[in-house]
Amino acid sequence: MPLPAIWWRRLAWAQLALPVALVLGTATAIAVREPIAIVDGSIAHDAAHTRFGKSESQRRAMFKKLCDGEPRDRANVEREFTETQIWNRNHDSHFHQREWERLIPVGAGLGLHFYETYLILDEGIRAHWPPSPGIAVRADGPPLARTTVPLEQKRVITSTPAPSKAPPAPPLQPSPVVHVTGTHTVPRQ
Amino acid sequence: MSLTSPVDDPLDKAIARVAAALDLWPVRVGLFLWIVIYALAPLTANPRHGGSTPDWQFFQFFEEVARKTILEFRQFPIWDPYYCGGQTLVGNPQTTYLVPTLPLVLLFGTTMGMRLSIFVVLVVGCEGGWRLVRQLGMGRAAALVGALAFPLFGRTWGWLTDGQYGLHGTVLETWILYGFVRGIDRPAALATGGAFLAWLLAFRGIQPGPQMALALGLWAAMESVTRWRKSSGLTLRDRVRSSLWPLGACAILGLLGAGFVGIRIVPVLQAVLSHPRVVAETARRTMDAAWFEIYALPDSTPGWGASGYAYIGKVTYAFAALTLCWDRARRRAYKPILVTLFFFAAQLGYSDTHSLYGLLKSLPLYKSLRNPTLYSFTAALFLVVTACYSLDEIAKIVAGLRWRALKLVGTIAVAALALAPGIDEAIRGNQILSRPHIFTFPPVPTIHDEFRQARGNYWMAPLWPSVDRGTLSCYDETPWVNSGELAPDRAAEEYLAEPDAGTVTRDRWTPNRIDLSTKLTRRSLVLINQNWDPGWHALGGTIVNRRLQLGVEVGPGETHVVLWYWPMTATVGLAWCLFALCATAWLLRRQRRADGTT
Repeated sequence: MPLPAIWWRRLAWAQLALPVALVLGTATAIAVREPIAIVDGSIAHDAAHTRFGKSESQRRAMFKKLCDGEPRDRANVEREFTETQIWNRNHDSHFHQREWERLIPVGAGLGLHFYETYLILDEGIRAHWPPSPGIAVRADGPPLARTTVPLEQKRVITSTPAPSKAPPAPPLQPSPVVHVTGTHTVPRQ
Repeated sequence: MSLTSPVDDPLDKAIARVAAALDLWPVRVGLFLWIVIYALAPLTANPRHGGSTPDWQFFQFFEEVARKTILEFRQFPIWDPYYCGGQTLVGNPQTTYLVPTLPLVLLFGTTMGMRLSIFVVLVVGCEGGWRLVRQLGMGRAAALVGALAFPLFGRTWGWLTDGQYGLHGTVLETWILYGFVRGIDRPAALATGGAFLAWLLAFRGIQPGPQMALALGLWAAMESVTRWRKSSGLTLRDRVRSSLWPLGACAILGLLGAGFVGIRIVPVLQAVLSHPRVVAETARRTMDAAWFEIYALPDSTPGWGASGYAYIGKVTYAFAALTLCWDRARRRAYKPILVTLFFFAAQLGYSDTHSLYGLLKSLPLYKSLRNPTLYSFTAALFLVVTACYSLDEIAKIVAGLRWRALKLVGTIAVAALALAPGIDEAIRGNQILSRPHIFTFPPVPTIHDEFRQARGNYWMAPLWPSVDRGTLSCYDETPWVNSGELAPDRAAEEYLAEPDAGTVTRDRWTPNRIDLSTKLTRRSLVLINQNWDPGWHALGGTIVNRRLQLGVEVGPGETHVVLWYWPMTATVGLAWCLFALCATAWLLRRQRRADGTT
């Protein structure tokens, strides 16, 4: 005996509800099983100013290691890329691409999660912690303009004089002052 | 046993029953769901990991900013302080949050929510493909091809591996065209097309949006010419009116669609027109690539570097070729054929000095679109629709067969051919997504802190909003202009230009609003470590643009200063949205009356 029409309709809805329930159920199960982690990133009110389980002196030492490859990366991208390449901007684009490839392994070697690596770097930059001798940590150059801008000198955030035996830092070009008119950022002649 | 089919033949009854089942939308959407579930099943791996490509990370970043702004700050996401020193969020053409799938991102987190959003868009796109082909007067077999071959085409998987989140909205073009074609006879349907255009535009529609506008314009122009030719018996006035209506319908759909997301589209238009993407390119495609390779050959075909890019299935491509050769099918399919040819021509890029692509690049808005190959997104839809016509002709021939055995074999063959492209593409999609390297960006935890700008790194984009840091390291195809005064080492994010003038303290910080208290001995400038934008306003002071840095001039004494962001373009967009909603209500009411009288 054939099923009545109402049952066919119910079957139709059931076969729609089943995959919907499967997808939502799977997503909910995953969300419950693997919630987004919440990490305490504050600096403890203890004598060592602990953060991420590391004392401030440890973090300062880590900051030095994180910054050690920075001048080399900047020099390399300035040598390998031209400023007129699409979306390159003061070579910062390529520098930051090199930076994460360098930083993540260095941070992992120090026992740091990738986010801890970046937050310790951020902390050091903000607090002007001294990098290793001969190393200069720079801010990015002026940001995107409507046309690709010529290479600009980065502002030094923090640096330590090079020891006499260390190789000299890469030569720096004269620092043009950025003059802003309207919504255009143009280098002053 | 009779060789021919009597009227009440059980075979005819069985075919009719299956066909009737497909007419029930829960049945066919259930079918699309299972196929898409199978294809996207690998996406359940590493649910909290982000995509491995910079593009994945870039779009995850925007979604996270929107999610954080809504859930943590209870604000409408409109300003993005985490990006490039602060930029418009609602006006950034690359953002994807103002869409119906946003609740999935809010509920399940960014990485999972993005994948679920793509899942929903694909299933909805399949249903749109079905309706479109049926609306064009074709049968169920052709509709199955239309439902599956385009939404599951090569780019769907390519966007997933590349991280081009949001471009999946392209598959909603099926609904837009459906709404337009139906709306020519039944204007209320223009609102349906408009609603899906709105979804597409808000889901990073910077590329497919202008493409679809071109396609609809071409289709409408052809429809107008057809109407003019067929209406020779009417008065001149009626003839002109009838002929111009398709173009009017196209304009109405566009105005409604853009209006529904007016709060986004007006700021985006302002951004795109004032910051055109100037990309020097000389890209060109060879004829075999633009017309054959990227559509007809599956991913990784040896010797064909661009194969799989917009793969629509070998069967579908063969049917499209058959439509071109078969006079009966070609006559019915002339509109999708001509639209396809137009986009094929655009794909050739700078093929010669008078290329179509070069012409498009000279138009406002279109000048910001790059890479001619991207025109294959919309070309694929019209190529699939073209293919449907010849399968429909074959299905009609089979349905008319009198020999029972032959009809049975023919029906099974047509059903197999109708399902083949979708199943082929779903299997290939599953294989492509099963590659282990797609979701490898480690899960980003939430670390609550006071907001501060960091030097950052846009190659690590998903990290910054989750740890309450803005990344001054900046990258975007839209050449945003931002202040060189911003710094990652400020002692405070809000400070006085003349430190000896007094003190400034942050009372409350949210993305769209900053509350400050100042104690000043003289009138002085308070600087914010973010970009200035004309949408910033202040209570208790006067907004100042200091070398593109946001500042507020405050008088002496103790003052509570409130800065908030709301651009004029958003107000205009809201007004447009209101107008679109009123127009939709009027269209629906008019349609209901018309239905009542008929």
